[in-house]
Amino acid sequence: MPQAWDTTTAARLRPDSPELEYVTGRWRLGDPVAFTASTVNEISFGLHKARRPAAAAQLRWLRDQVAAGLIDVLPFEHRAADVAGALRARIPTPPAAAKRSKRRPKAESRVAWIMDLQISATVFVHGYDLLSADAHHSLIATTLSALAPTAPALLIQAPPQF
Amino acid sequence: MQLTVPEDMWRELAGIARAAGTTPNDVLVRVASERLRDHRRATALRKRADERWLAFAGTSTESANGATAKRATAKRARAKPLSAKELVELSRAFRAED
Repeated sequence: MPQAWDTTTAARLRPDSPELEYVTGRWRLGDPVAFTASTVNEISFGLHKARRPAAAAQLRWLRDQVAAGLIDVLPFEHRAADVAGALRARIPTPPAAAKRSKRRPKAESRVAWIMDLQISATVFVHGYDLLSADAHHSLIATTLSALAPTAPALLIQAPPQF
Repeated sequence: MQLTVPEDMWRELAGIARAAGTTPNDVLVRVASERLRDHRRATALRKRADERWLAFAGTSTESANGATAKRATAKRARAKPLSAKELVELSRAFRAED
């Protein structure tokens, strides 16, 4: 099935990268990779926060790839928002294993967790699989299966070894 | 079955074929197969998206409350929406939790 990338995987996409070759290959086969709108939000946040010309250039390059249709962007619409709200009610805070960096302030960890819930919810309602190496996306997928037991499950695929 | 390609479309196909070093028929078949592939992909995605959404919308409130589907459905049929006052209190409460 078509795949959407989580932020950690998507953030590695840059010119001359093996990730770009992979994405281009899928586009040529008519099965373009997707990012969620929340993933774009996180990448944009990170690059703006970096305040460096190279980060601004990366953001411009990424916008060009989206505009050219190389990457589809899945909107965070009413269905995704509803599912993300249900997920947040079930798992309001990240599990200990998902509180990644000790350097990250608590408030940012919470925001990152909400973004993760939004990403999984968006991928779920658009019918995609999620490409992610993060263990907490499996926890979110399990929670989704509990919320919608008869639904085709959200499959988490490990990113290819580039 | 034989199809007639409109003349202006054929001219366009011939132009693309010349640039690609192939025949208009080849271009036509490629375009059709790409469109068919895109259509199949979009249909499969839409089907899975709808199945997921319907499963979620139909069951999430029941399973969240831990009640059986039958009891929850009956309970839902009897339930009235929250009053305006209750809604305001609820929204204040969950925002305060954060």
